[in-house]
Amino acid sequence: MKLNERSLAFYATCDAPVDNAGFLYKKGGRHAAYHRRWFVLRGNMLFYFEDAASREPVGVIILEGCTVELVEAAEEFAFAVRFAGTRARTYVLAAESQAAMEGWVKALSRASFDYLRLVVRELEQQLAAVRGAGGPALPLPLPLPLPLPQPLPQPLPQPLSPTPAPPLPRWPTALPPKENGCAVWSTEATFRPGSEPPPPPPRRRASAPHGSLDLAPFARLHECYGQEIRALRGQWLSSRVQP
Amino acid sequence: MRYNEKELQALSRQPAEMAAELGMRGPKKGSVLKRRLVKLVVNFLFYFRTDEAEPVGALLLERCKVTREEPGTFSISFVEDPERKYHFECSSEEQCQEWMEALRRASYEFMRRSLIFYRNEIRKVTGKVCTGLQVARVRLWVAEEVFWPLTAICPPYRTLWSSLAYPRRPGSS
Repeated sequence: MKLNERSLAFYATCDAPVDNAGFLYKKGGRHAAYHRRWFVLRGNMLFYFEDAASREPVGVIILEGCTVELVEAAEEFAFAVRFAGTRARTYVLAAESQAAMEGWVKALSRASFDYLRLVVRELEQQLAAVRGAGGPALPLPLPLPLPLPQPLPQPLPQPLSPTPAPPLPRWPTALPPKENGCAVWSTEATFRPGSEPPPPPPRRRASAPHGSLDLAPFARLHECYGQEIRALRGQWLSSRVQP
Repeated sequence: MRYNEKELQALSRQPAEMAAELGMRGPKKGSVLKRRLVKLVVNFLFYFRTDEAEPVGALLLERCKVTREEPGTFSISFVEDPERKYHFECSSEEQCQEWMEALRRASYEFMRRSLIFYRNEIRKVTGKVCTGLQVARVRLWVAEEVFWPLTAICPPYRTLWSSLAYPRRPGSS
């Protein structure tokens, strides 16, 4: 099969964001030795070079339809990139430390185009949902003296003033929807690998008995709980009016 | 450069975002227009002889430029050699437009920018960072990070917190 290898080599060494880079040992074949190579993960392409200063990659592993697993191997910190199919090759790689191995396994598991597309679609739906449900006068989260289970990812807005019936800060009003084609991209130039979702809260482990709500799209969940919030808040405010 | 050809062939058999029979002309001077089955799968454009199961070739669609040529015709070229163009002839203007738009969105780098864009937009509206993974994790995070702190100053939020953390159908007591 022909492939635009020149472009591929160019993509390997251009200034596009790199998702991970480092030395790994790559097993040559079934009974072959390990070779130390400089690996660069960019998108769904895992390039490997003779060394970090090489201008052209020795080769590339295209990471679609693969799974990344830990393996039992003579080498320490070994893991495998396994493809489906009867005669498909499994690439056994070994890192130089536990941390490096974990970093690579995580980066490679999320490297496929398919996965990224899934995440983008999910975010697209969530944005539509929060814009659609946007506008209600919800109080913003407050900085509290309580010890929080996890550090909050964003700095919190100002606390409420202590006067009775204070005007509560509103959510930012929903932005008018923009056509995707002419939307302004973020000025963030680089993709920060390792920016991950906040880890699940530690105390919560039991799964829900009612399966249907688990599978509800975020939009519907947001709407349902939003209604409850408004109702509860209304009740609470009216109960506070009488001293 | 070595590459895992078998996996690339397997990828060419995956469901395509777009597939059509188009006229294709290679980048070399004097190339002849040939009928090819052109198939877009993730960030690869595969092209097959119309009666064959294995692709003749594949183009990785990163750092590429999609340009309108004559009416109904577009070309793909790559940033490092803009004069080297692969030409594609469509059967209608609409088809040409459709393909050009699909190809422009077909790169990993485009997807990455979309992710950053949506994340920022969501943050602007909600004030929260959300990376769009499993709905259950998001719901739990909202329960713990947004509602739990509020329960101290507004006891009714406890109901919300517990209904998110221990979900039951809303409206039931």
